[in-house]
Amino acid sequence: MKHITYRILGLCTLILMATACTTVQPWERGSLAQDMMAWQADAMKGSLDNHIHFAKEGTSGGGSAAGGGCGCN
Amino acid sequence: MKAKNSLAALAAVAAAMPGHADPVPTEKAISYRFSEYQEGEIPENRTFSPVLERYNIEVHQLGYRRPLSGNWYLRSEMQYETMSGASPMQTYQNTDGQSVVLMSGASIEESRFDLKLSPTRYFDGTGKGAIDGTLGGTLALSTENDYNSVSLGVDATLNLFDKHTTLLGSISTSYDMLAPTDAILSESRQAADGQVKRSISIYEGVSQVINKATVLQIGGGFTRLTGYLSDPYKLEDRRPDDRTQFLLDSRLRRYYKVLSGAAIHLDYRYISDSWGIHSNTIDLAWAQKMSAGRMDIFLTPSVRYYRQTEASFYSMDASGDEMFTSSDYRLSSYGAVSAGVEARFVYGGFQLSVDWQQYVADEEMMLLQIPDEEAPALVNYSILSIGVEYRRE
Repeated sequence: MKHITYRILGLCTLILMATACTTVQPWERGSLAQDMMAWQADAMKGSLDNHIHFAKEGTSGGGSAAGGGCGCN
Repeated sequence: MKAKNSLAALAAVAAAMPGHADPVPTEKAISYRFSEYQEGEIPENRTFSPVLERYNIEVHQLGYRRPLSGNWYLRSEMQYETMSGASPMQTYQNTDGQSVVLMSGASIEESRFDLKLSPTRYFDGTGKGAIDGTLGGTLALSTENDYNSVSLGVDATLNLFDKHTTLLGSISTSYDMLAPTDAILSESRQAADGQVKRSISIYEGVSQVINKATVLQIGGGFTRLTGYLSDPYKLEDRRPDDRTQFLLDSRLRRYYKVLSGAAIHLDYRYISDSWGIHSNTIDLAWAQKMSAGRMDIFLTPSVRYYRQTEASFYSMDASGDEMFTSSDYRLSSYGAVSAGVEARFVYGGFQLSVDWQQYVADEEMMLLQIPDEEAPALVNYSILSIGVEYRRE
């Protein structure tokens, strides 16, 4: 419970930092539009990496709701 | 007029921000990726099995995406994999207090087919009170000779404050059916035959443009699994029939003017579940763009650290009198480090990508709270992938 409390506090700090952000006009967003700024530049790489971590680690998920499983050993 | 056109061009660039306030994609693309996954051998001095080799998996992925009519866009992915090798069935402590792994004797040969379809409707937000965001769905099917899974999901985004803030939400559910091979060989396989596993998962998040070079996403999720959650191929594996997981994660991208442009990626994830497992994951990557004539080269070295505490019923005591017990290494306390590098070469509408990763797991990599018991079945693996893609507007 103590761990979760610390993490929630950490996330609240990040949210507060986010609210301190500056206004970015549309013509100032060229850097944000760059390919290397994507959450996942190669969807198939992300898909395979997530599948392997799902199959080989005790916990998985993040970034979206979890999908179906496999009988991976 | 020229200034107006320049402004329109800049606005178009801004609208094309990948993942940060989604525009309607206009490109058609087809891609193929082949990966060779190889697990390291089980330590020879920790098993009586003559088979030391673990899984080797060859993965073929085919992706296709295109716009549909009426602001709809379709993403699809097909995956076919063939597996061979042996898998740990039980880990126990011998009379000398040493951990020993019992491997599946004969080499396993199987294959899996996976299909995912994700149509998305884009709302451009033009007009007073109009919605700016997306609404999508996902249908995923996975089939192998002893396991079938179907899942359905719905996801949505809502862009606010001139696309500075994006709210994300998704919900999915899955239904898995088990049919272990050679069920007659063990009671656990017979017990699992015809059993089902269900899941429901929810994720909510917010993505925020911090400044003209930084974007941050934070979110939280909940997943509940019910049904047959044990592993029928392992000996003495009895797990609770429900599992609840909470998740918090964050992702940061920051742009730097290095060569043709670069970005640092920093991701963190915390998971806690009702089986007593707590995990922390940190991903760090540097995405570097370089240009050579008409070719763009993206080089991305990355490192990932993962650690988890063990499940409350994890045990290497094979006496078999506990209600819940499992010696599955995935439920033990351990840490893992993986490092890799991805290179993408883009020339016009063509892309060639090469990716390599090495993953090493060990109980000592917990760094803190290192367990007394060793877990020799922990997996080490490497993956080498090569992919091609062709895209056009």
